[in-house]
Amino acid sequence: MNKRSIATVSLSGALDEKPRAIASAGFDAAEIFENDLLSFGASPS
Amino acid sequence: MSDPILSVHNLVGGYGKMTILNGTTFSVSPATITTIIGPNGAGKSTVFKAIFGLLKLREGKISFANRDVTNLSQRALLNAGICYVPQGRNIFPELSVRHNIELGGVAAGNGIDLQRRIEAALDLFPALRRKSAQQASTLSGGEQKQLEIARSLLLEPKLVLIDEPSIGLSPLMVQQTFDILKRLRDRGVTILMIEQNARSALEISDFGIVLELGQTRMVDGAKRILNDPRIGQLFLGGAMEDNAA
Repeated sequence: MNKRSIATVSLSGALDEKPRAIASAGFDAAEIFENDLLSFGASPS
Repeated sequence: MSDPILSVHNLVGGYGKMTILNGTTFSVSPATITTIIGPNGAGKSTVFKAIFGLLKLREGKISFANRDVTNLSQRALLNAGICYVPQGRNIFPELSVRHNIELGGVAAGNGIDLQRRIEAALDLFPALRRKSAQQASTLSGGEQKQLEIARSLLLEPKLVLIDEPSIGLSPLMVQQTFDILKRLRDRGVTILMIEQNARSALEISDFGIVLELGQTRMVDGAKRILNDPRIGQLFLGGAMEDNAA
């Protein structure tokens, strides 16, 4: 069976919320949109 | 066909020594959706820049509502009733959705009922209304494109130039965006659109314009362009004939 991926640009919300939403919806992978990183205020750690 | 609201005649211009527009000529009827299609390099975005005064023309004339608007400033064009929604995401990501929309009214000056116009724009976009207090960067890509369109409506334009509204959007969001353009058309706003997603765009359009190498190859009803086999071969992803050049 093919694995399924989704781009974060397709979702609304902040960067820390999107991976959780993507995982809970059953996707196997996520493509992170550059603007999500640029606009997220928290530190990398 | 009613008198055109926009006419471009024999536009010649480009970047440096490179000529992109090479006699581009077409007109657009009021309260219609017209889609410009053509291969990469045809001059689609360049003709928008020329209409919106971002490209100095070497020759040609642009008329809007029976007035010569060739090479006018963007401020003058906004005041005349022309808005431009360029490609990509052009929002203020740190500001709220509502503040982004409010900024669309800056050029209107004093004396307008800004709050009424913001509410009218939000009425068209329920998703934006629900998220009006959120930071704009937290919108999805499709919602950000809708935010740009909503912001352009603050000046109550007569003509909206919209470049690639569907790029990067999910099929559902493309459909929603096109539905909003149809509603604007039904309210009397003229939409001139560039779309790579040519088949879907022509399906909701009244007219189509085919550009190639900076020249107008065809202006016709959108349905006729959709059904023209030459267009299918060249621009809409149809199969090329075996003996085609």
